[in-house]
Amino acid sequence: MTKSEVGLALTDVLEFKALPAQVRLRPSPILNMKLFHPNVIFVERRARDYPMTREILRPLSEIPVREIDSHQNLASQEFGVNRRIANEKRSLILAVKEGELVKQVERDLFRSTPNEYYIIHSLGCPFDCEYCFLYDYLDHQRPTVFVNLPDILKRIEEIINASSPMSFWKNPFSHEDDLELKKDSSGMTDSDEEIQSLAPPLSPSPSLFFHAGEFSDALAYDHLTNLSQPLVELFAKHQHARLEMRTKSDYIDNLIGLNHNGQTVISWTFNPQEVAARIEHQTASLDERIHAAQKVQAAGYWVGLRFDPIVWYPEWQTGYKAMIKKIFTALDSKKISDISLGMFRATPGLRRVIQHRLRHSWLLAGEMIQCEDKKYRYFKPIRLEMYRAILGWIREFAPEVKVELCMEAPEVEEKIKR
Amino acid sequence: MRIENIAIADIDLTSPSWDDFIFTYPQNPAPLVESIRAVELQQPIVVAEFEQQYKIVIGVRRLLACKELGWKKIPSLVRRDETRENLLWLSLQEKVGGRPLNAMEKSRVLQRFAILWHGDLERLQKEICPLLDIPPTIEAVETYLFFKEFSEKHQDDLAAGRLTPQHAELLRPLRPEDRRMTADKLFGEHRVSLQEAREMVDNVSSLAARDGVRVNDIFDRPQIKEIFVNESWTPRQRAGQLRTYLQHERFPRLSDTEEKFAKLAESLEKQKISVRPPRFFEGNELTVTVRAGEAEEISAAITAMQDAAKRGLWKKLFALLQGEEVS
Repeated sequence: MTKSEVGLALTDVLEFKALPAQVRLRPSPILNMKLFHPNVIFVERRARDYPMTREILRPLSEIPVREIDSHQNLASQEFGVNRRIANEKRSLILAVKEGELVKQVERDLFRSTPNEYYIIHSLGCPFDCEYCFLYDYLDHQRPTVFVNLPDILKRIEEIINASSPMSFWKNPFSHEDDLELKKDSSGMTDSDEEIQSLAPPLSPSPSLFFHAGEFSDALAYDHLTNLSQPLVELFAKHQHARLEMRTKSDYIDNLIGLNHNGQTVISWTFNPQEVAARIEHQTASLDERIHAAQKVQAAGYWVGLRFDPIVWYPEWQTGYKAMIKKIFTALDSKKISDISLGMFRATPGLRRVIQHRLRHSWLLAGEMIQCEDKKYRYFKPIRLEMYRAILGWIREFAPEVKVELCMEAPEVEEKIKR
Repeated sequence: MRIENIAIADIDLTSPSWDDFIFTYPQNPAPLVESIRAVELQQPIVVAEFEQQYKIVIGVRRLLACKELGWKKIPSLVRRDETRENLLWLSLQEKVGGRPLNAMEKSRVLQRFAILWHGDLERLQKEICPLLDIPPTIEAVETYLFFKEFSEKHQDDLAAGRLTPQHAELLRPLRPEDRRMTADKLFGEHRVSLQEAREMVDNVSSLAARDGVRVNDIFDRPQIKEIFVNESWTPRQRAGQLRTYLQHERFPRLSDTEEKFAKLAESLEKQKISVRPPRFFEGNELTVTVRAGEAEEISAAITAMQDAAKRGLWKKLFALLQGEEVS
């Protein structure tokens, strides 16, 4: 890639002038998230004849297609990190995934994650969340969809079939052991029974978890790939494995009407609208996400709430409290599978990208210090204060839903659990 | 190629593109004037002929010195029918064959070739960076191109080595209007190390982001102005004061916790017991060090630690470590 794909004048670049309007990263509109529509498509030669490639290209026939040897080493050669990212995010790569199709979740410094897997259906994401770890993880930000989906599905099934349907994963924030939730002879609580009458049961402690939203948003490409259908239908057949599709999209059309058998959780990352508008570009607004979550709950799905990353800003208390009220007023808390809380954290590499992209963003303005795992987090008393407040607001609406912390130091988890 | 005596008036020294093939920075001819006056010009300059006018390719300072001496003509090697790219390469090869290029000269080389190659970053990294002893990365190329944005004073500092490329690069994420004041406050006579500079730039810009103001507004605060008018401090001491102020403002809760911890631990210092929290209070354990020159001092230290326990001092120190409020 040696020439500008957006037709910028080099003199503008060398003069470091303001970006032309068409390459600016715009904040998300309040309503009507626009579905991803690339302006150029790169197709790996070996991906050319896959049925999924043809399916994706059919409605995009007006978009230029370029053949490439590999989806790797395709970093844009634009001047300036903003231009590079903007340029890369407007393209789409169709590629064949080799090697690890499903990746076992590695232990992090703070917790073990037995039998959890990431499904690598895509790499990179058309959304532009300023805090995204992929900015420090991938060598380029071109959204890449792997078209050998049958290979990926086959690998998932191999893992599921090789695993016995036993349960050993226990959520530290589960209220299963609480005295007030008395279990009957079937091992179910009153609360479980009530849930069963509303939706297909959520396998209470499946032995396998598969995540479809780690290396890309799980639904960002669904209008092009219809990935959700084969995934949801595959997991519907396996009672001891659960699929989580994590997203910031509101495109849920393909999910409605599928036989999911309660084995798929659709989870949304939520932030107050004033945060989402500033740092989660191209994504659905808070209202759109809530509305989409309502629809999938109505279709019998369990919904996961991901308050991660929680971002400090001077008015965070007002913002998060109002958001939580809004979410729990709109959603049925009995159809919420679990909630996770995670404070914004950044590797040194991501921090550098944010600083250079955003001229020392508001995102880094909190009291961030470097922790033992080298990641930057808010100073511990601030994290504790925010966790306690947010957990308290959640408990006002959903006293029994499982809540867990993400990527947090054990002493902080311990204090929040108390 | 023969040497020609060409009229200096025929050499372009005024158009916006007059020094398109020149990388030399600064172009001040003063040091050469006396030498040429004494021993004449020992080496012809190189010019290129373009549409009945000449452009300087090699020897800009000699040319400017001869002009200053009032010469009407200058011995020159004239390149005709050469491409712009060939002339740039000729100028670059001559340059890298001589003394090491300074940061501004490297910046100019990259600028010229970037324009010639329509922003082909890959070629710049592969073909130019190795000649300039610059890492062949996009980031390095951008850093050197960015120096063009600096004021003349800071460009001079970069060329003279008073400002390192690493220091200058710290200013890149700042708004152009904020760079000058930041450089004035942190660099030059203040002799701030790279690590200190990085911390201060980071703190001042994060403060600006948090408070929704410009970096310059932070520097305009009375507390900072006071630091820079206090004549009893050396520039280095001023930088130290500024660093402390910015750190405190940027991390108010951390600073407050550090102060509380230090105050509580102070009573033990008298018994030669030092108590240290982990970095930024992340982690579970305090480090307690006892210094003793004789057995009695050990006994005294143990007694002091027991007394501290009775007074609830350790509980307070651990509470601070665990992120809890301590009255």
